[in-house]
Amino acid sequence: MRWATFVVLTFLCIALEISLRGVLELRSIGGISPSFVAPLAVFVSMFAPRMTALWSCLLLGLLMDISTPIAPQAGASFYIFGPYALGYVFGGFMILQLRPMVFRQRALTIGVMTALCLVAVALVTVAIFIIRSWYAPDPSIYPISPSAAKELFRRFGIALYSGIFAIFFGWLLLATLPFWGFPTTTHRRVGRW
Amino acid sequence: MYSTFARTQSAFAAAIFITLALSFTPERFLGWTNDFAEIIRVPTRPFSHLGIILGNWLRPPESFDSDVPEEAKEYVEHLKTERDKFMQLYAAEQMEVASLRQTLEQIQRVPIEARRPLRLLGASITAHSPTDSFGPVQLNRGSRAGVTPGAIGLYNGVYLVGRISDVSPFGSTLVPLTNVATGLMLVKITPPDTRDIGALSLVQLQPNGDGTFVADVESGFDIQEGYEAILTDHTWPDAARSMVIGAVTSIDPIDDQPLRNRIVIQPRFHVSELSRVTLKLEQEEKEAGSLSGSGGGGGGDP
Repeated sequence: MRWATFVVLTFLCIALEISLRGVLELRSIGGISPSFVAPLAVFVSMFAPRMTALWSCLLLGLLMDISTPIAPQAGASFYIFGPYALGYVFGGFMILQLRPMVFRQRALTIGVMTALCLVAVALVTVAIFIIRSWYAPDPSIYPISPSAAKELFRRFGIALYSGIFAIFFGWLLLATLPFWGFPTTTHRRVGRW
Repeated sequence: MYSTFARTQSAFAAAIFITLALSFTPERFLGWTNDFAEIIRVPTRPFSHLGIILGNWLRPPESFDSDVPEEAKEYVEHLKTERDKFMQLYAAEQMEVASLRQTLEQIQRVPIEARRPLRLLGASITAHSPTDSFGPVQLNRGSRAGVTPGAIGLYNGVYLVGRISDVSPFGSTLVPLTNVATGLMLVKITPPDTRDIGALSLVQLQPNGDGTFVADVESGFDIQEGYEAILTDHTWPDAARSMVIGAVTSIDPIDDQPLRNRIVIQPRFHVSELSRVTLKLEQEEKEAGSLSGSGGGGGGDP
């Protein structure tokens, strides 16, 4: 895999994730918005060598952690490096197990896998926040407040929405296949649905 | 080849172990993460800023005056902003009068803090929280522009949208009012368009986590849908007092407390919809002195 391509697209997806979420936000359904980073993680996990895919997921997850500040009631906000990093690694690992069974070069596959990956990410992140809330001075600052189940369902909603969105975004990513230098892919000029 | 692969696997296992340890590190040891994140975010800031401007253009904050002709909207918006600003000043003055009256009645010598002049500073939002609509956002103004922790963020002059939690030289973090970290706030509920504090109801609001605020009030209070909540909490900076939080959208009886109602307050603007906010900053004494000396003190917001 060409890391330069990965860096450029990561940069782009993170910028889109933290800026354009409001445009696609469904305000009437808990303010959910699709992820731009998860389809990229899925795309890399579908085509890259095993360890490369896992490292990529770890980096993408760390960048998501860096984009998600936690604000206490008093004092400066802080960041927790780990919930998304571990979540994306878990999601990427799941995709690695599933990828021999699917048609990789289909946008629909990217969409379905994105939804599954984000469900895995949600389980890990919410679990970490729950554990942290056991010993935190103020558990209400974590996004699992007031109810972890509610937050989990909200994140499942994000997963579903992102899955639908990733069908279109995945099509664009598939169009970039020739620039990635993945070892065993035959490149088409455009992605397939 | 195999040994390289194994080494990579070992390195990855080590990275996972470190990440796991960081995931569960107590908050008091995470102060350094702010600086680290600030450095990592620098390259994305211009692009995400452009993205937010584009997003705001594609989907602007919801307008409440869809029945107004297109050509008059801008003028009406200007007039409404002016009206809101003066009504906020009126409410602030009324609070001041009420406070002084109380002081006189009690014949107490309450030291009145010398108020520092305020100045307004426009700031652009450069990054939203990727997963939480009500999570902290990043602004492009930092300590070099005079931003300090605790400064308040406004929209349209009188609508309080959040508070600065931390500041770096080139940016700052704004915690939206709707974030649960905001905690309890003392507000007064007032009829819209009058903001007459004579018959105000004092209630304690709490962010609900879904973009609204809730409060339990006695059912005898005369509160109706559309009434506005204005901040009176003394734990907030003076500059924030009398700012509008939002409007009452529902009043429902509480089943297990027959004498109390639960009111829900919806802010007029959510930070996630905005691309810019105005920061209300207290001027440093030296700066304020030089301004007043040069006759420029009038530039500050009263």
